[in-house]
Parts: sequence; structure tokens; C-alpha cells
Amino acid sequence: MEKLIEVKNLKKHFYKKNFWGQNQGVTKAVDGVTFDINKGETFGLVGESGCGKSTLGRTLIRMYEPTSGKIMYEGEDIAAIKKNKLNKFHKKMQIIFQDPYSSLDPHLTVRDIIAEPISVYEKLSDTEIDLRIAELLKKVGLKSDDMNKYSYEFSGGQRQRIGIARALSVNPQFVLCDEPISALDVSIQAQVINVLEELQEELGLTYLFVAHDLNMVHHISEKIGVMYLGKIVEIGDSDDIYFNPKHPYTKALINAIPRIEQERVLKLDRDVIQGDIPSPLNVPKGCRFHPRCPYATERCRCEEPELRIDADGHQVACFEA
Amino acid sequence: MEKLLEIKNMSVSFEKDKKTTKIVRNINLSVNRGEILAIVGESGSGKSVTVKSLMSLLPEYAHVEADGVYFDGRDIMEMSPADKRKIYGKDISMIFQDPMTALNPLKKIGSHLIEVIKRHQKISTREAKILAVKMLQEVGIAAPEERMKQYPHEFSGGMRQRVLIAMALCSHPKLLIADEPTTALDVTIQAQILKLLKTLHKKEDMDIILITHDLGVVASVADRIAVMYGGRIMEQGTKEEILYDPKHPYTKALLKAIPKSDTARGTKLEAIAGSIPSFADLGEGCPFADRCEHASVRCKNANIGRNIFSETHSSSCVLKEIEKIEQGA
Repeated sequence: MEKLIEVKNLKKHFYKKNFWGQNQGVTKAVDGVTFDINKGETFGLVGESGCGKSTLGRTLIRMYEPTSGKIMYEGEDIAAIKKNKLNKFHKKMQIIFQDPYSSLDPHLTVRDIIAEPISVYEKLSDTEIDLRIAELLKKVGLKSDDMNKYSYEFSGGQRQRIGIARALSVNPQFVLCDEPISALDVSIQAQVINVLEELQEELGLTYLFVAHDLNMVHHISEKIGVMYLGKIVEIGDSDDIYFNPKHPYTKALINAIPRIEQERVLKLDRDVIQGDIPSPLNVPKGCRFHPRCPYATERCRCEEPELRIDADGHQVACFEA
Repeated sequence: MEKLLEIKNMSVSFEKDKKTTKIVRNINLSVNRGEILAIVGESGSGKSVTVKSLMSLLPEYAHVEADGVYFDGRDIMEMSPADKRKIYGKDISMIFQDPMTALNPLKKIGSHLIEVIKRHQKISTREAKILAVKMLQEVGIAAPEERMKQYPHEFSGGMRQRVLIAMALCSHPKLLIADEPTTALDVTIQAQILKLLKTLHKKEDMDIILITHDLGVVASVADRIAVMYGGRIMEQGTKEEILYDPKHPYTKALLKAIPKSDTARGTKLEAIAGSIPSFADLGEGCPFADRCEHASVRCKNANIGRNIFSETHSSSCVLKEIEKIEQGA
């Protein structure tokens, strides 16, 4: 399988500074992450809120400046490129946002919303743009005359389709889907997931799918990475992670999914893990998960486990797994 | 079975700019003693309006009509505002989706609790304080005495929801209405809060109405389920009847649209076409008719009958025997 993106030891730290610019503390939102995304595949990134999954995604497309590390895109390091040369890459890497209400400008028509990225990256005449937009709208399941409407005339699911059309307007290879269905109703989520899957097949897109709904992530992804406090603790094939998790945190996450199937319903008397996710300002020493981990040993309290890769390509950062 | 709450034929409409929009239509719903009832629905299904009307929390332009809303044998609709106030927050408590906006950011956690306790019991502040610490302990907050002195922003989302539950429990309510209590929380924290609610339900002898859109949550805590759509109850029954033997086309479609753990990856999800209707566009007929694959002309008519499948299980659909039709097709 050909790799599209290789992330090597990527870090994104946010510094809290006082009035005089002195450092007052650092939030290590992404703290040394290494993984690959294969061409044409969907890589699912899961974790609880505050684990750094959205920051990782946004650093990856250089919406945020990486603190250190490498992001190899088809062999070229994006992290090292000067800001004014980024356009070339941003044309290949687009994003779909979580909230379809705040991510579409209410003053613009659907045409203007979708035409904006096109006019940044390409020189096309108005008629050419109109043609492309009409085609895009059809692809995402809207009508071409929806072009002249405003975003507030659409429902949440339809707005998310507009967001998808905008991301695809410059023919990207890679799309960062940042919780694209979290704000949608259950009956609408499946529609949007189906559109994303159809487009992937048709256009050969690569997705990084960031979400917290493990059921959906398992459904759409080939590979899944599980994040906890800025680090990836487990990477593996989607089915492996879902049915055969190795890291205690992944196990806890998978156990906590409220399921409908009669034999898999969440058992509240035994499946519940204790404690809260600690603040990223104050990361525990040793394994970051040890304060909540039922299997933690002395070693976990002082030494931080690295991702180990086993024979079938499953990677786990745990001494005990 | 004895009923703690019984809503008979309740409708709610909003009157704005001389236009009346019917929100909730002819709802019959009851909560039995010793039970957790889940009201399931998507946004705009009327589930929150239904419970808010119980607590008189609706805006002024809302108009509630009912043949009777009986709580503990007394009709709330007939009560004077003063009598109602004695029930709200005491016999019926409510917790909300967003635990941050429900707490006052300028007040310490302790004073939130003390205020509620003193509202319902005539005791000194010192006694109320002792009680407050006990309540925090009961909802699983470690080091409650130090936590009393902290502000809401020092608490995580899950901890804030625990505080709200503690506040709701201070008056030992008979009924707790939980409006999407875990929607804003992560799955591991959600499981903790659900566990807490279920423990308290047994320990405090408190019945719960749980409002949620997540059928998985319902599967792990509820005893009975009412499925709402477009301001109507489409189907209600025990958890087993609704989740594993659904009769209404909407319930069936909703259950199919969620990926199961055994659906192979890459298989297309069975999405429900179309979008959720707004209340202004709904007529007398079935609100799901436009999206339903079994819809016929009859669905647009008023007076959709109630089909009764068992003592507990009923649905409102013109197709009485959908299963037979599906098998024949």
C-alpha cells in the first residue's frame, strides 16, 4: 500500500504567555506522534475531548504551525515549507468542519461559498466555476439550482453536504474530516457517511476521520489510531481495534460505547472505567493513562511506554499488553 | 402497576405573531413507579417541550392543553401556581444537557447546594453544609469538603453533571427528569453518569424520565421507551419491544441507520432519506409520511389510529400489519 502521509514525531505545544511574553506554562496538545496514512484509505482518529485529536488533524494540514517533527506528504516535508509556499499543499489538503452552522458564512450564497476556494487556487472563468459547482452539488446529493440559495435555507445535513462540496471544489487528494457528523441527528448521520464513502470511491480520496463515535469510526475507517493526552496509544486495523483492543484505554473506550445489540448492551455494573481525563497542562508522569488504569504497575508510574509494533502491524504503547 | 405520572392527551402549541404552531400533539404517556422511562427522538421531535411543559418551563407564548396531567394522583393542570411551586424542584427535579450553563460561574459549588437545600428544608446553614458534603459524596465526588469551596470552572464536565445531580437529589424527588444528561460528555464519562443515575434510581427510590437521542444509552438504562417524532409519540413499549421487535416504520428505520458492530465495514448504511420536518410544515397526518417507504394516501389523513400489540406496546401508524406486508413484498 502506497503511503500518502507519514507523520514523524509531530509535536504541537501551546504556550501560555504573560504580558511580557514570558512563558507561564505549556499545553502539550500533540506530544510526539508517529503514524502513516495510506493512499485512498480512511484513517480514523479517536479519543475523548481534550486528547488532542483535532489539534493533530489541524497541525497535519498546517492550519496550526507544528512545534517540531515531520509531516511527509508524498515524500516532501510539509512541516518545513515556508508559509508563502503552502498554497500548493493546501490545494491538495482540505477540511470539513464539525459545525455546519458556524462554518458556512450566512451572508454568502452557496455558489459564493463553494467558489471561494476555487478562486484562491485556480484561475477559472465564472461560467467554468458555475459548471464545476453544479457538478459538485449533484455529487453531494443537492440540486444545481441550490447554488443561488443561502446556507440558512438548508437543514443541518444539507449544510454539511455544502461543506463537503466546498472541500472538494479544488479537487484535493486528502480531506481532513473533523467530527463531520457529531452535530447531526442520527437519521442524518448515515446520509452524510454514505456521501463521504461514495465520493472516496469515485475520486480516490484519502480521509483522516477525526471523531469520538467509535461505532461510526469503525464503520468508515480502514485503520484506527487511539489518542490519549497528546499521544497515540494504539494503532491498528479497524476491526482489530474494535474487536480485539490491546491497550487498557482502548478497551475502556470500546467497552463504554452504548450499544443496542442485545448481547452487547453496555453493562453499567462492570464496564465502567473510573476517573476523568487529566488536564493536558498537567500530564501524569510515566504512562499517561496510569492513574485511571486498572492494570497499572510500578513501572507504569515512572517509565513512559513507547509504541511497539507486533507481527501483524498492530501498534500498542503499553508494557502489559 | 401504579402510576407516578400520567399525561392524558396533552398538546402544546406556540403562538407567535398571531400564528399558532402545534408542537406536541395528543400525547399519552405515563411513568410507572420504580421505572426509568426513556423518551427518544431527534432534534425537533418535541421531546424537550413535552417535559418542559410538565415543569411549566415553557415560554409565555406556549399554550398547553390536556385532559389531565396526574402526578402522584393530583392533576398538575388544576393546581394553583403556589401549589405547583411546591412540587417543582422538590417532588420533581430536572437536570439538563449542558452542566456549565446550568451552574452560576460566580458562585462556589457549596453555595449552589446550600441554596437548594435551604429552599426545601428549614435548617441552619451549618446543617445544610453538612448535608451538602454528604450529597457530593453520594454522587461520587472525591474530597467533597475541598470541592465545596471551588468554582464550577474548576470542575470537569462529568463532575459538573454530578454536582447538578446532587442538587437535584437534595430534595429527595420522586421523579427526576434528565434532559440529555450525557450528550455533552465523553463515552467513558457518560458511562459513569449513567451508572450513577441507575444506582440512585434504586437507592433513592426515584423514578426517572430520561430524554435522549442515543438509542445505545437507552438500551443500557431504560425500562420503557417512547419514540417521538414531529411532536407525536410514534411508538411506545418496553425496552425489549422497541429495540428488538420494533413495529413502527420510523423506529425500524432509525435502528437500521445506526452501524452495528457486526455490520461488515464498507457496507452502505441504510440512511433515512430526506430531512426532519419543521413543526410549521406539519399537518394532521403522520409526520413521518414524507420519509416513509410504506407511506400511502391514508397517512396524510387525520386520526391515525393506535395499534396495540401488547399491554405495553403500541404504535401509531395506518399500517397495522407492516410485518406481513414486508414479508409479502
